[in-house]
Amino acid sequence: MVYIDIQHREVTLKLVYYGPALSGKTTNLQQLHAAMTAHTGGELVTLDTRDDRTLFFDLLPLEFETRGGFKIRLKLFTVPGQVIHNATRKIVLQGADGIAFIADSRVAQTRSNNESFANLKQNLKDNGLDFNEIPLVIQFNKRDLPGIRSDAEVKKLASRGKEPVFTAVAIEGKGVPETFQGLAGLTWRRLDGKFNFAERFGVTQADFLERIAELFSPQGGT
Amino acid sequence: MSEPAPIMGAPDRRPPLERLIRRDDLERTLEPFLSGVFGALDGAALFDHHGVAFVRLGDGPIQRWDQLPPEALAALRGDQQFGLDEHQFAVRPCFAGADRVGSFVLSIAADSPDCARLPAIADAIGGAVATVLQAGFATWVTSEMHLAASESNFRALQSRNAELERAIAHLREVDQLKSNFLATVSHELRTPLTSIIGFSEMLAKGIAGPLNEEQTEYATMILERGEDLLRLITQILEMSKMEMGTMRLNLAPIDLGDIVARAFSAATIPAERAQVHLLREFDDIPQVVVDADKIQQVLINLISNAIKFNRPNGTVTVRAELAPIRRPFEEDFFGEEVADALRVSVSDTGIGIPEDQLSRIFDAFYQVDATSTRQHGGAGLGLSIVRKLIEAHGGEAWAESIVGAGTTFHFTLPLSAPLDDPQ
Repeated sequence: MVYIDIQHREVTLKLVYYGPALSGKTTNLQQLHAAMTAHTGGELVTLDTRDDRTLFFDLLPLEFETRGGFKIRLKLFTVPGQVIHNATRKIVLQGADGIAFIADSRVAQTRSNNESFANLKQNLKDNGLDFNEIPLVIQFNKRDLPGIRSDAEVKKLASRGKEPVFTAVAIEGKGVPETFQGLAGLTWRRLDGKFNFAERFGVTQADFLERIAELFSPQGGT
Repeated sequence: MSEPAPIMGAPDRRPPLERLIRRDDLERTLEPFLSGVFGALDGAALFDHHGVAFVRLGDGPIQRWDQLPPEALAALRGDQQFGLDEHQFAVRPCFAGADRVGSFVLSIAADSPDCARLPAIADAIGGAVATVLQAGFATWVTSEMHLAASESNFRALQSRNAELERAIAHLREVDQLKSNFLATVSHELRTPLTSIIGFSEMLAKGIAGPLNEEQTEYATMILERGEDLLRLITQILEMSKMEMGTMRLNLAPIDLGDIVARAFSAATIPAERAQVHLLREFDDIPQVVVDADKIQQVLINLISNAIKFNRPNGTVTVRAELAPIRRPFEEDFFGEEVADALRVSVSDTGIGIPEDQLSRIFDAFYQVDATSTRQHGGAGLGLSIVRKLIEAHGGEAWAESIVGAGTTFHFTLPLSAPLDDPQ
């Protein structure tokens, strides 16, 4: 759940990267971390296991200030994608403000994507979150591999839902910032409607998005 | 202190100053006090309870207290005023909770007219510093509490995990014992049974001399029951082989139609007896790569079930079509799966299975009708074997049913060598 500290003029958002095993959630975070080295409030916390699979979660903390001196902290989490780690996934999902679903574009992975998506719905429900309410973006990752769904197919699938859909090659960093910006923007819009940040703290949507974009600039920033 | 204190929890619960307040924050807080509004103060400092400087401001003699003079050291332990280096110093103790964590010192030139007000000024500024430290202390206590709580949770979880690991190891052992037991017992049962079947058959056929009608009937009954028993034991043996992982598959490309034909011919007699029609509803389908004997057994198990639980004049239909290797899934946001396998379905027109039982019917020894007076015999192993055999081929087996209308069993088989599943 979004954490608003009125005294210190601070707001903390929790964004979760969800998806099937080996779809590139951690890679997304690593690429974001690499692209924002000048701005991250902390190191990427990752617990690499022997075979490079996420066991618990990865955490990338980001923070920046808006024009009015309002501090925004973003906590980016990944969940472990393997089916058996559902308990961990459920805990990490607790109080999420926004979700990026990282899907594997390969046709052969359709089932894993569908299962993970159903699992997301179930875990949201178990955490008392409404699937239809929570900001959600979808990323079709691994666009560089053979045997993937074509762009036309992705477009067709995308048109079936209301969620913004991005394509990516996370390992090369392609599409990673776009997905993140899409997620951050969507989350902010949803929360702004609920808490009215613009009126209460003087932070506008445009200002927020501008700061987010600045995170990717090579130097400077706040 | 000659002996170290016994370690219980943390040896010293007194928080170090840096855990209560940040140096630069305290410097910023104290700076305005030295600007002259509070008299001609020329130095302010906070020392920890060992006498080590935490923060020092101004250019008074406190700045030079790198090696504290003995008078200062003595004064820091108390809260007094003293003169030194033509300066007056005032000391105020600083507490975190009930523990003294440090001393706050102010200095003023001894010849300053404000010298007389030093105690009052020290009370005022010292009070402010004390409040800040107490606030820091509250935060510190909270975080220590969280830390301790998570530590104890962690320890509890660790011991719980260890317990669970022991339990799993134990269960594995027991499971292995069970499988070994089943294999041995079934084998031991089969040997004498072969003699019973063999000799009763000889008797029934009159090889050992002619029998009268009644004797023939009895011998035939022994033979039939013996064969029933042998089938059951074979199933149990097979089950335990599968559980021990000693089953081998002889994979080869084959037409499903051939396997179905063989299964049908094996089921002709029971089907006629139960007045059930066997139907085959598929043609042109690609070859599958399977162990033909095992799949034939799967089909025989499913077809004989379908006959057993059918109604008179009912039908058993076998269908086959191209489909994904996994059973259908409720979520299809990311599109349809590729049809890269063959889905075989065996439908009956029988009593059906209630929804809540559907997922359990594949369990070993499970019977939908578990009462002692149930109509249909069997050990409850048939479907369990079906599922194990299909899973060994890389496919999936499941059932759907409408109570009163019939049940359909589906299983999938790979068309070519099973693809590596990254899951």
